[in-house]
This record gives sequence, C-alpha cells and structure tokens, in this order.
Amino acid sequence: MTATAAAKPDEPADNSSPQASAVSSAGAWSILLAGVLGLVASATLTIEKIEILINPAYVPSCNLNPVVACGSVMTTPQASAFGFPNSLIGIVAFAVVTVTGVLTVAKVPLPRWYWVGMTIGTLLGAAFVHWLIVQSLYRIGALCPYCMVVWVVTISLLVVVASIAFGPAGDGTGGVVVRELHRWRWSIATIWFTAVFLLIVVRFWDYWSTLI
Amino acid sequence: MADKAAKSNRPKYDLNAASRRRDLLVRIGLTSIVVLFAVALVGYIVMSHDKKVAASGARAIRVTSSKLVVKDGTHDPKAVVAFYEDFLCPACGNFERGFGPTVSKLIDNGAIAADYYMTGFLSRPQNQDYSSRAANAAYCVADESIDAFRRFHTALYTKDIQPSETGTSFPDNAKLTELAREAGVVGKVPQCVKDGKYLPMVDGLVVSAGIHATPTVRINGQDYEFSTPEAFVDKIKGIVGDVPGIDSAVTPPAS
Repeated sequence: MTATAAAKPDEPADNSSPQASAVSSAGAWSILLAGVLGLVASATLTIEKIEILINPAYVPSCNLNPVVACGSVMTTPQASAFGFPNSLIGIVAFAVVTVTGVLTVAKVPLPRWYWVGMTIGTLLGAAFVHWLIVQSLYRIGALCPYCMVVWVVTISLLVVVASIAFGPAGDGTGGVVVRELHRWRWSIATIWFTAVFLLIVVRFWDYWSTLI
Repeated sequence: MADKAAKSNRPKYDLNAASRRRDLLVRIGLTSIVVLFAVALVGYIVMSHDKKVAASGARAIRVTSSKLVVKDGTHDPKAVVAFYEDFLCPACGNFERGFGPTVSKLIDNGAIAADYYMTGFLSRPQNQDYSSRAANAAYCVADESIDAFRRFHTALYTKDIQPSETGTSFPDNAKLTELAREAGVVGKVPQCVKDGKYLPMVDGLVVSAGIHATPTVRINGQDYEFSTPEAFVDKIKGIVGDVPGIDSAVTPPAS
C-alpha cells in the first residue's frame, strides 16, 4: 500500500500542492543545521587527515584520551572504506544537504521525487554510518568525536527527510504502519540513540570507570 | 483500500489542540520510560559486573626466596616491590631487559619480596587482546610453579618473543601454552589459558590497582621512579640494610 502511494506522486491528494511536499519551518531549519554540522565535521576530518599525511607525528585536535581519539581511528583501513578517506564522501553529501536546507528554508517547493531521492541517499549514508559504528566500537576500539557528530546528524537527517518524503503530511495517504511510524518517529530515534550510547558505555566501561 | 486509508486517517486530522498536546505528552512519557528503563538496566548490569571484578581483586604473583629479610618479630618482608606490567608494552620490555637480572638477584638474596601484577592495560581487539591473554597465562603458570613463572615472565619479555605493539601478529593461546611448557609447566595450564580463567581479573587490574601507566613500580606501596639498576639497589639497601651479596647491580647481557 505504501509502495503504491509512493509510486503515484501525481495522484491528486488532499492537500493543495500535489507536486510539492510541504515542509514545516522546523524541518527546513533542521535540514540546514544537519548539512552545516555534517559539512564542518567532514571538512575538519579531511583537514586533519591531510595534516597527518604531511607530518606523521601530528597529533589531531580531537585526541583527548585513549578512548576518545580520532588519530588512531583516521589511520585505520576502515576510515578509507572505498580506497579514499570517508570524509570526502561527507563533504560532497553534506554540501547537497546544506543546499537542500537553504532551498527549503527559502520555501522553494521541491518535487516529491526529490525527497524520495534524498531519503534513499540518506538511508545509504545511515547504513554506512552503522557499519562505521560497529567498526569503531568492536574493531578499532576508539571513538572519534567528529565521526560521532556525523553519526548523530545522519541518523537524525534520515528521520527528517523520510518523514517529508513518506510521512502522512506529504500526501495525506499511507497505511497505518506508515502513520504510526511517522507518529513515533522521534521516539524511535531517541531509543535508537540511547541504544548506541549504551553500547558505547558498556564497550568502554573499563576506561570510563577510571574517570569516575 | 484508499477509502479505508482515508478513513483511518481522519481521526489524526480531527485532533484538536488539546488532544494533540495529550498525544505529544503520551509519546514523550512512554519514550522516557523506555529510555530510563534501558539506562537503569544496563547501568545495573555494568555496576554489578564491576563489583565482581573488584571482588575478584588485584592478585599479585609473589616471588621470594627462603632468605627473605623480614621485619623483626614478624613474617612481613621489609621491602615489598610491586611491579605493574603489561606483556605488550615496549617500556615494560625495556624495563625487564634492563632491571630484570638485578631484581632477580635481589629476590634471590632475600632483599625483596617481588609482587608481579600482570595487567591487560594495552589489550585491544587489534592486538588480539594479547596483553590480557599473556597476563592470564602468567597467572596460570604461577598457579603451578613460581619458578616456572619467573622463566615464563623473562621469556615473554625477550626481544624474540615480545610482539611489537603496532605489529600484526601476536602469539596465540597455543603459543602461550607452548611457552609455558618450555618454562617447565604443563599441569592445568593449557585448560586455564584456554578458559581465560584470570581474564576478568587482569582486565580489572588497571582500575583496582589505580595505575596510569605500565611499568609502574611501587616500593612498600610508594610509587618509585626508576632510573638505573644501581640507584634501585641503593634504594633497597636504604630499606633493608646490608644483605650479603646486595652490593652490585647486574649488568644485563648485551643483546
């Protein structure tokens, strides 16, 4: 049922603008904020990576302690999953997000297919982020603060763009499942973040407990 | 289908401000309950696990000789030297290769009782948790024989056997068992190494002993900044007085 609804964006819907999805101003600003935060984090990681390449003894600004350190994370094979630094993907992707944010804040109507595309892109990003979370926690054994900013931003962004593309506010139709998912979306996200947070606490408890 | 969907949608859009607010509060309330419950549950599990580690305590491997100098009228040694080490840490390797023969001589002379705390300080998945596994094996060996522990401990710090901290290959449990056999014990060691009997204890050692680096040396509970074997011998002499044969440090064989 969901798929049918999504496949017919030109079907006349209840609301006045059938082609464009209505975006609340809170949604628009949060997309812009996500784009800027993600862009800053990706750019910082790229610059730090270049500094390390120039001078292998360089200590990145985010090396705080044995657990919270990006130096050890950035030099791992996982940090260049596709053969080049992951942060380059971030710079390109978050630039698109930032532009989208600017357009929605300016109330430029964007077609439904655009939001579906954004959702697919963000979903791929979120899948990648979760792979990185697993690697960071259980293979590398360290946390990189800028990377964690990207984790939070990407997962939050997925909730925002998916609700614009598929939420009941978009076209007025949709199944009970979609409607309930939309209604509880921030609850699900909150619980999701709590789960990741708790995994981090448990994984590095040996270290955290020395700080207490 | 579309009709049904539209009908089931209607109440959503008919919500007035008051029930919308109630709906929001219900969602926030339920979410908070789930989150708080999860945090409390995990917190409880982690804390109770922590206590178990603390209860299993910091166990030292005490190495002494029959000539041990004790405080008058007691069986307490005059000088207890505690070594907190990690089998992977390069500084521990340098320390053992430099000070090891001198420490060994002081033990044999009866000047000191040595307490070895082998920690899993540097244990990480990318070094295959070598620190913890090697430390566990050391306690397994010490259970069988202290003399074998001394040989095992020295062997693991030789340049040929100690792996590089940033290397890619680390001795596995089979290799550790083999090294224990070469040090002169089998007994329950293979099973003990395989089961990781002392893993929780060695992983908790860093916290329970309150150390921040390895090697850490403490003489009678006081942190000691080591410089040269000669200075170490002088320091011990200051505590136990003249013990036959104490006078000289042992120069480690050139390697």
